[in-house]
Amino acid sequence: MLDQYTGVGVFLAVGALFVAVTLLAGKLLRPHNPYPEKLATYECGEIPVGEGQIKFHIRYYIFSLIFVVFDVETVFLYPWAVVFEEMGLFGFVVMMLFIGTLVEGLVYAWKKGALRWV
Amino acid sequence: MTLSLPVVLGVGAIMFGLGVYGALTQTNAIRVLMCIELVLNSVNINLVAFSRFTADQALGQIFAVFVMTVAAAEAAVGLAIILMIARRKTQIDIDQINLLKW
Amino acid sequence: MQQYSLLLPEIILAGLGLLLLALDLTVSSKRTLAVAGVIGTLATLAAVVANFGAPATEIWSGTIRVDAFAQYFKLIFAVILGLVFLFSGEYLERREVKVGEFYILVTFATLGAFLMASSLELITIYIGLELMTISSYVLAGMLRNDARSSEASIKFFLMGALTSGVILYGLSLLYGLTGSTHLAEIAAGLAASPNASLITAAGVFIIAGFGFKIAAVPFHMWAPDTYEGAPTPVSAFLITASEAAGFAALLRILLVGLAPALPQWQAVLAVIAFVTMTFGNVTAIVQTRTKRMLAYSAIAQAGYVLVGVAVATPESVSAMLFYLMVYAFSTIGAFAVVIMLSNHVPSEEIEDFKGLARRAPAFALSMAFLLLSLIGVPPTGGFFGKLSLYRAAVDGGMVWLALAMVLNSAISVPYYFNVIRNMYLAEGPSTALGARPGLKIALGISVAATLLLGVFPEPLVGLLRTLHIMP
Repeated sequence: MLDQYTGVGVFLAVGALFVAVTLLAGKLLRPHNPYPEKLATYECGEIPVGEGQIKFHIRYYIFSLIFVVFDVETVFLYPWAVVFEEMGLFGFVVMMLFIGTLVEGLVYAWKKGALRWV
Repeated sequence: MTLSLPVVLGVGAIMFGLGVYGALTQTNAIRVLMCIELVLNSVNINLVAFSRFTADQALGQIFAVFVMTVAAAEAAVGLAIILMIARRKTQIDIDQINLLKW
Repeated sequence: MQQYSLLLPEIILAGLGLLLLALDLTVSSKRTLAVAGVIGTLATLAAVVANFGAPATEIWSGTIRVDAFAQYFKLIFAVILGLVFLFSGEYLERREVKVGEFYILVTFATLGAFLMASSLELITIYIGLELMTISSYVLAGMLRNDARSSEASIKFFLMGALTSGVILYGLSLLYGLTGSTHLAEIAAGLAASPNASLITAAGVFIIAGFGFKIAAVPFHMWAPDTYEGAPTPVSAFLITASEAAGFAALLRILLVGLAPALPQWQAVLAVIAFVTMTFGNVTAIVQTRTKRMLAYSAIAQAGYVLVGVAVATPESVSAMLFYLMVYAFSTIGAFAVVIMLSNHVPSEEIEDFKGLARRAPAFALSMAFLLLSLIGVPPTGGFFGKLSLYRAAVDGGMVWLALAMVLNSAISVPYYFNVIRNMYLAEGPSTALGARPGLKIALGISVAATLLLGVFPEPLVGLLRTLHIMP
């Protein structure tokens, strides 16, 4: 069974080689002429403010927590999609109930202000 | 070399052992949470391995999917609780959470 | 459509949870939520009772099993939920808990308990268990301004999540050994399986994991902290409903799924039962805080109930089911008095009970009666429950365990009487205390049920005799 991974190994090696070769070629060919504006961090044309490595506001965690919960629930949609035709109307109704429950949870979080940016 | 059931179960058992050991010895609540996730994922390895090698059916994989989703909900609630404590105490070492004792 | 009528209790309860979610967003008066909760619980109770006579049926490829055993546990859970709706309001408002969220979570936790009781299938039992415990983690931390509540929550969460993992590991082994997640098929598979050591390993993980959930010694360390720090209505819910649900699942898994391997576990379970009741009672004696005393008392009571599991005869199972019902009523009632008192005196020390007999005679009398039931004094339900557990243990050949139960009841007298002594004999403040009608109704129901089960136990005993855990 492990020899089936040979292809993956070759693919990995070729991928790594490709990146190394292109970066090296670019380094050899391009002109080297830096000045401060060029070295500055790109922030959509704005002048960068402060450090790049900062502590994120704790509010971000709330969003990611809510995202994780709702994101993982989609895993149930895949097997459902596979057998959708065999399940027919019953499967559709049941899945709508499931999604409806999730939506109510989302609306609750929304109304309670968990998605508000402060 | 082929992957056999004992090898995969061995990986699961090692992960389970590491997870339980870590959960009982670590003091940082986030690390404990990570170790608990390790335990849950060792269960998933077991379930998928059994499903693939012995039973040859989807049941174990369905079980694993449920374990994954529940683990996500559990982690979300756990992080929220840790967050609530961090807001007040600014540190989350469970050694320092010791108001309640006999 | 018959399967939906069998599922009606769960459907109503889930609908109630979703309704409360919507009401919490739209209605500003939180008492409306409590009223809706009580009405929904009554409807659930009616649906549970209506299904009682139905023959044992499995629906949805065996994931849900509707039988008298499940209905009996659902009855206990629904009653507890209703009483929690009745007595929590004032406490929650005084402590600035988010009342709506509390009602929603406690409803979903009860739904989880329902699922745990009404299945012989591992995935469903696991989903029910997690629905109940994840809701409980949040419930335990709902006093956001109280560091002790947060501590209760984080301890409960870390231990609970780890033990869920341990239980799951055991369940995954059961699945691997037998290729099935249905407990009846697992039992058949285990009987034919040569892998004795793996079966033992699965048993160790499952018993240790559920030992944590029901707070059996030596897996109890989270319980006193959680029960003390959590909001009092939550402690009441956890000590009764959550514990009963743990016993329901443990009974099903041990007595159905692990039935072929059960004899090797009975001695272990008996020792756990003995250690649990003794440790709980001895430690409770030295407590000064009401909730912590009741927490250790709950551990001791879990030890008594475990006797029923350890003996593992049909008589012992029906005795422990009877005891669980009595225990639920007595404990919820006692907590109702504790909540009434802590609405006026927030410190929750046992000393606060001083002079309660003059401040609120009816409450003091009820509390004394409920504590007598927890000791096991006639004519309370606790007496009859302990008596039948004792008889079942003797008949099942575990005489030493029966004697240990009697000794433990004697050990438990001082700390229960300490409260009664404080109420009736000690001098205290003399201002009269009162409570909202909901709490009074809840207390009245608890006391009446405890008395009724002690005086007329026969109807329930007869019902329990017809109830079979096996498929």
